[in-house]
Amino acid sequence: MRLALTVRYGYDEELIFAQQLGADAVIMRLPVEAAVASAELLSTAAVDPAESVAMQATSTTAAVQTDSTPPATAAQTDQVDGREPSAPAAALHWPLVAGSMPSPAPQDSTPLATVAYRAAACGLPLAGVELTGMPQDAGAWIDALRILLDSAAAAGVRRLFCAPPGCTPGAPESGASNLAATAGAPVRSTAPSRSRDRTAGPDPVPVMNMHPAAMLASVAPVAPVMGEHQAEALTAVAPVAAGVGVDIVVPVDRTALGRADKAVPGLRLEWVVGTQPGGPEAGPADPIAQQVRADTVTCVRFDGGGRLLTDSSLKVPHWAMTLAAAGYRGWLRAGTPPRLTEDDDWNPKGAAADLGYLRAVVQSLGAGRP
Amino acid sequence: MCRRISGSIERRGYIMKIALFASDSPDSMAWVQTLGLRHVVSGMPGAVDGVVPRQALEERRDRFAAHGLEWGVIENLTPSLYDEIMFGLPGRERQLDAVCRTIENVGAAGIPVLQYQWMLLGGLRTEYSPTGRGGARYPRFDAAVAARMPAACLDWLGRGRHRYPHVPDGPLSAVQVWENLEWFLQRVVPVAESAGVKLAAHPDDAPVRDYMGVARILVDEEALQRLVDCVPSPCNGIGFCMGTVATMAGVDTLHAIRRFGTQNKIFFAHFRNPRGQVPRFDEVFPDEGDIDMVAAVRAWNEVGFDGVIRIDHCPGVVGDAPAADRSFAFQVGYLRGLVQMQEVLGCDWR
Repeated sequence: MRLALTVRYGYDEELIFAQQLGADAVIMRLPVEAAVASAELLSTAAVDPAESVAMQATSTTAAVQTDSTPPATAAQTDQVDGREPSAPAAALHWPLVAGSMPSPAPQDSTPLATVAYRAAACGLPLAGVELTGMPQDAGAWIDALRILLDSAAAAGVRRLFCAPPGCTPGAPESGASNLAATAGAPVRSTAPSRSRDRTAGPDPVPVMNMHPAAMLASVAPVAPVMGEHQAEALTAVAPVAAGVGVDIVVPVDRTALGRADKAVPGLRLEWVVGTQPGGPEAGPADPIAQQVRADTVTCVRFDGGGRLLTDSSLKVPHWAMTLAAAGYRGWLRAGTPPRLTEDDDWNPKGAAADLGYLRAVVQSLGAGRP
Repeated sequence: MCRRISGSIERRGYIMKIALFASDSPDSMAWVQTLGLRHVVSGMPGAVDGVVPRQALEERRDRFAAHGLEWGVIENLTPSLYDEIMFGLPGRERQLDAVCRTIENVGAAGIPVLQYQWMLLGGLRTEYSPTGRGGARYPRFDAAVAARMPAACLDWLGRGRHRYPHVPDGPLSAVQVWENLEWFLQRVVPVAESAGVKLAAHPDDAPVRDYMGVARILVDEEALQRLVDCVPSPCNGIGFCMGTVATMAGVDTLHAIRRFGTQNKIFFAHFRNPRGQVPRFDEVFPDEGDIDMVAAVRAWNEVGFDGVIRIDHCPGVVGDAPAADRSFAFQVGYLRGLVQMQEVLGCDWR
């Protein structure tokens, strides 16, 4: 298990803070509007298909490089999810002399590319990008995410943290009974080839061949407690994500987690441990352990609900032990930290306390020191 | 704490009291409370004719109590109240009398532990290196650097002529310094016993054997053992600074915790984790120093330490206020996390 700290894009003090307090990586929070608008401008520019292939090859190489600090750790970063790196890490030298940092190539100048660049330039692995301000209309949400997935892939961003449209992160939604009835069908969508026609979006070949019920069932294992339109939205983007090698990380609570038992390409879960009652104590058959073994969970977020993790009712040590026993090797992070006395708007004192706490938890489990 | 009883292990909750250094200002007390702590360490109120008044101690104690905070340790007995004793100067008898009155007042105010130090030249640091993790500023001691600028390295440089600490007027051997310490303890420990106050000696930081020709004596385990043996008493013990002990050449901190903890000679502790030992060390974040802090917390519980452990110095973090709140918050979270994990994991994990 490793620790990620949530930081805001454009706030460099938070990057320095993360590094000084020993975060293993950052999850950078990015407002979507600017990201989508910028990516749209780039995607609608005239692109020769041959050039597009060359760009793709270049950006894929760059993607591996920018997903970690020194290139040698790219494989290590990828293997957090237990998967092998998609491409060998190229030798990219990051000169550390001020003023001599390499400039991003024009085709990489999307907000996601700059996010990746900033993290790498600071020597911080980027665990993912958390998208804020996503459209809540399902259609607009799908369109935005398709654009962002392409941009993420080009920039080497491996994970986009994003709640489905109209879904309060971490809270169970009503209307899940229809999905629960169809959950468990072993339908898998294979990765579609990337479309050269960016305006039409990637070719959803595998999904189009599915029966509608099967389409919903294909995402039910990771999104069972959601409304139908939310599941449809995930259905539309999961193959795209899988095709470009980016995971959409969906926040779920423990109830939803309990129903996800199979990995879906392109989708992963962030288990939000909030103030919802924890339910029965974890045991050998506990669904959390099952999810870990099924490789559905890529991040666990402990949300103290306005309290420091040290003083919350989350039973963090208990859940951390459960995760460790199941072999979990993903990320841990704290939720929004509480505001302590006379603090800045991003609550760094609370964030520091929570990060120190989680570091102690990880070290106590023998998961290593920074 | 785990105790073995007839082959089984009895588990109890951890009993040490995590504290921060605080003043009795509303902001300081609110800060301690915000971090979920209930114990404080605080300095000594001002002395009047060399004696710290009982009323001043009680008033401060009451202000803490009104905010739900327990004042468990005075850190430190003000060195200028006994510097002539440390140096063996003619005024030591006068200072001794005043110190004894102060100890009585501390006891009357119900504060159980009084820490003091026997560093004739105070603490030593050579620089605050900005080369820590992410550019954090680490306090550093480097004997080679100190040799080039010894006066500038007196960390707590006194103000004005001959205010403690100051550049010495002459050399002082270890024999002489020990004589002065034993003279002091032989006279104040009985007073402390009567007053119900535990005297906790902080080892010499940095633990080098001499500086500017003046010996520094509490610099290794044997010295600490001599300290507690020279005047045997339940009121004569150690302010166990993990950071200072860890920087003693050749000393294993966990061994020292167990050695003196099992003797019930640790009255107070500092939580700090340096990297390196004399002649050069850095004060780094507690999760990246040389001490295995998980094992250390376990050791504290094994010896049944039920005293106050205070978060000690910390590196400078970006954007931090002069009080280093962000850095302290990190350390408080870290220590509380270690304790909570040990409570759940018990004795047999790792």
